Amino acid sequence: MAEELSDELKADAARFVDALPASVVMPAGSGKTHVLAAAAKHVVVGGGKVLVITHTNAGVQAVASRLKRFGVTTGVHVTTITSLAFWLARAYPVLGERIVSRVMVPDDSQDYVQAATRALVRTHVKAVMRASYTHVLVDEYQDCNTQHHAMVLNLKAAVGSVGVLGDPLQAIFGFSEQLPDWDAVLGEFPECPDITPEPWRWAGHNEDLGAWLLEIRPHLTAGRVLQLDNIKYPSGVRFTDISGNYRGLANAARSALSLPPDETVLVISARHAASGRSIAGQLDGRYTIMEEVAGSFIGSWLAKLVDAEPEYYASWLFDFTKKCHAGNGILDPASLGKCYSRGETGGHLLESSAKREPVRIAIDAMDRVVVNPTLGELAAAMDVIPSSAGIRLHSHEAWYDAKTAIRGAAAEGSDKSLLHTELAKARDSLRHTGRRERRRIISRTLLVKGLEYDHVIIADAGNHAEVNDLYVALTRARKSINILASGRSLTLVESPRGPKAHKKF
Amino acid sequence: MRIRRIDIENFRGIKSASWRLPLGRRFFALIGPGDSTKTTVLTALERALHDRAGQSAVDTDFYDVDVAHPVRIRVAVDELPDELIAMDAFGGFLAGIDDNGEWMHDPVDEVQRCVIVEFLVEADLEPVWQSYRPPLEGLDDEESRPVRARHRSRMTAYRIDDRIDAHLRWSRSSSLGKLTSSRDDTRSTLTLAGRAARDAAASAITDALKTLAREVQEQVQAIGTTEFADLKPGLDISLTNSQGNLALFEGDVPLTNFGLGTRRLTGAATQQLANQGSATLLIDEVEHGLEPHRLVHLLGHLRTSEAFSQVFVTTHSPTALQHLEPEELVMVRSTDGVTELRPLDNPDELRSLLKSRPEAFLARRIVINEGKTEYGVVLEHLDEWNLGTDPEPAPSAALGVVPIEGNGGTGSATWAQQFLKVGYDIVLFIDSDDEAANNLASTIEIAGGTVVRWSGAHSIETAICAQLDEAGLNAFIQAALDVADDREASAQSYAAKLVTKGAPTASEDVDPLNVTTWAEAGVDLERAREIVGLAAKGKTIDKDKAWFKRVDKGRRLGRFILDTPALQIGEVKATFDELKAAIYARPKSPPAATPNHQPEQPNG
Repeated sequence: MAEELSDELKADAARFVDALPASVVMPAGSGKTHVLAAAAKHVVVGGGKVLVITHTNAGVQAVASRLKRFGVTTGVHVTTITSLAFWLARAYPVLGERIVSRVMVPDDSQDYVQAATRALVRTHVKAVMRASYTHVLVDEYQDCNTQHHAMVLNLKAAVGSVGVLGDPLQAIFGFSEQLPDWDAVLGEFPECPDITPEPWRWAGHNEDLGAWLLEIRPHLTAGRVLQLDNIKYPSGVRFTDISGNYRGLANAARSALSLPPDETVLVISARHAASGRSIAGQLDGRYTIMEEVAGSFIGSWLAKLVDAEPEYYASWLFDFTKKCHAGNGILDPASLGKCYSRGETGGHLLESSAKREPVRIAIDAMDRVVVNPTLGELAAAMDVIPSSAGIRLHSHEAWYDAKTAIRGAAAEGSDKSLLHTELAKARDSLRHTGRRERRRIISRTLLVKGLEYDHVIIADAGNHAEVNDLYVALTRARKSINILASGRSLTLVESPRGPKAHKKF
Repeated sequence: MRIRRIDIENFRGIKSASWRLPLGRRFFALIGPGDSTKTTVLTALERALHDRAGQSAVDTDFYDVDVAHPVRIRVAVDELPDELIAMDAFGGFLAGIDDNGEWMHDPVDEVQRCVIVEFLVEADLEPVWQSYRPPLEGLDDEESRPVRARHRSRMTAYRIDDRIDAHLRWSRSSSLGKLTSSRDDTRSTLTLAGRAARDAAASAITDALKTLAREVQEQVQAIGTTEFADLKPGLDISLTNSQGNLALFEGDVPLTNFGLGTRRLTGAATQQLANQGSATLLIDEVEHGLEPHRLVHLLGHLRTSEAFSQVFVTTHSPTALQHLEPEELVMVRSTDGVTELRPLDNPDELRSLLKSRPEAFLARRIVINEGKTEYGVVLEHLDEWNLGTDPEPAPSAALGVVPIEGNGGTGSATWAQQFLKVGYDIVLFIDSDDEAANNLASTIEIAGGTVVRWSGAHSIETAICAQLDEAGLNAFIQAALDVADDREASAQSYAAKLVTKGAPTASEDVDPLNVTTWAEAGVDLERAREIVGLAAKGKTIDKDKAWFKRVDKGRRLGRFILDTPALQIGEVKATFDELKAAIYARPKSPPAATPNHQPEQPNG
């Protein structure tokens, strides 16, 4: 049964569609997806066809499920900008001036975007776009870099009725990208006025929190000094100064385990991945590490495996096991690690001392790799190692995807050069099927923008002095936020929009 | 939608063919001798653009029945509607095609966008419809994409043939069915009508179907001069299969009981209504079952109506050709499995011939005779050679030979060149007394034609007279007088003509019409032969005065040649032997190495 749209939402949608090309700027959680889906429905009801472009597969799923809720089953195609660019570049290599192979390679996405941008100005590709869609809506526009922006402008030249939705305050980006100047975006897509933000994300969870986030939004500006202990927080939000308390974060995370099990908890760590993994090490495997989509942590470990001679496979496995598990002190490097680094088995150490008994399973598995150093044996060892009583897996994604890649390469005749291809396949299937659902997660703002959780623990507010970073961190929570910091004041700084300003990292 | 190019490999009688359709034409009449694979070309089009799946092929669909080489038919279609160029249809694999029919991987700005549908059948006999794009350097993993039935159905090429009856019934795949579904919900309309018809009587037919039947009636009248008084849907109890029991009736008679021509016309009308402006119509033997006047009317309709995007017909009918323009003709020739489809280079030159002698265009071998005299002479000889006391084993007609009256020496030679280029065998029978014609003759021989000429500077009349004695010359003159319209007057004018050419004037002993008397006046045999020959031939500028210049007169001359012993030797005999050999030569294909296979670039 399709959800009935409110008159207000219908009016907003109609006004937006009529104003195209136009933009809608909306705060996090305040109904942007609602407006987008309603606008798409407005077009479809009028006999048009809509292309919705987002950035991530999670975004595709979010929009698609909202459209379904609104009873829109045909006339809308939802895709990521990379998929669309790949499709165009693959279809018209001459017009895109680039030969693109059949399988999409995530690392090549900017090449796809540039090729698609070139193809989109050609007569017949324009005709294809015009024949396919009457309207184009681009979501999360703040995540468009300059190349995405150029491609969207060419789409606009072809189709005309293009709308963009986004929130410049949520713009966070990776390393090498340059974001377009937001005023330039508004020049191409004038802001559609009078669309009232509604704090939908917090409805039924914590309305006070939603209202507070809307209220503080205008005040999050560079140069402002926040006295974190002197803010009137709404219910559900608290601040804890953990200066000198090295177990402060672990305690906060452990106490969050008592929250209802079906509610999600996110610990936001500092920007670098190692920070999250060291936190995970203290939490006994109760929290899992979210990997970035490209899986560079896994990739770097597989690269080590590629370089390793078979006699050192077990040594590699020993190191990787430590990296991915909490309680890894029991895998002592001095005695056990040395055995493997010499290419020898470690089983005899189980006889000499009982302290390693809780990791007997792991040691037996690694010894089998010593005896039979093949990729197949490695993967088999990885199947059983996490079931050792003495250690707890915390990097589930990394562990399982590495195992999938190793098993895949083993199946292809143990060709180690295929490890990264197999990893790309595993990560690509993640793109399509979504992440395995886990309820206690450690991640970074860059990876969780656009996602929502019931409870958020900010590991150290001091890591989020950039305006956009702080805003994204605060707006992920539906019910509660626990802000931790070593210190009580935070001076906000401008978020960089390109790599030049990013040099300090 | 517009078909731009058809490439065929290993389909039935065609090992390979590539036809790039000239731009700006939408009506194509495929002509050619038997076994030139015209019909196969139509069938290939039909198969490639067919919207029904599940029709398997058979072994005999393969060239030489060799299933090891797949059947591959590629059809490029441009001017596609938006619905078909969208991303969920052909938008991801459009190709480009330029004005000369050269296709390329991407539709660059300078060319037309098109889809190339590939119909592929391998040894498993399961047809596959998929996309094709020409290879692109550096791109080695191009995958074919399926071209789905629902998209093909927007491009379907409809064939009007003896199986047209299916379209006179309401079924899901018939044009009547499609026509209904475009107006109403077919299933319910048909089910309702069918059930009602089954349950009760003809009065149960829904108003919607009755209206439709009336529209078909009007359309049939527009295209076919068939008068229906009461066309309506009815229950055809002669069939109990799934083809549909609801059929068109005229009064109480199901239309399927009408003559073939009427059924074909009605079928064409329903196609036209069902596919306004977008359908491609294929008609094999367009004349089949139609009286000449209905054929002419139908052709006129097909050529001018906007209702069809393209119309392809084959024909063996001179009547049909007479009402077409030479630009509309496509000559189909098959040589060792290679089928060539060529338009005329310079259709203007053959326009009047198409009107006066359309059957020439249907021949395999055309004997172009200098003028009326030669034409008549050759006709008389053909009668003798085909039916006389010592007939040829295969009559000339069986060899596809058509003799025509030429257009003088140079005119005939020009025609010969045109015909040679599009694949006809040519025998050119001309005088050797015209220098311009002599120059053309060698070009024609190089292009593969046979030129039969008199030696020296002879015409047929002078060549004959050169072998006659006085009595023979007299018989020649009598033969001319035999066929004169007014013997008395002609006798006077022929005598006068002979005198002008040097015959002695009439006196007591001398009669200009009696050559045996000329010696008295000092005109010897040598001179007499010249005088009679030139007199019979007439003046160069006034050839109508020539004695045998009419087909029946030419025939009389032919008979004279055959019956005169003095002409069974020497050059006359040699020339006619040469002509006979050329006419009855076993059909050889035009030399495969002919350099000008490809028509010139139209804009070149």
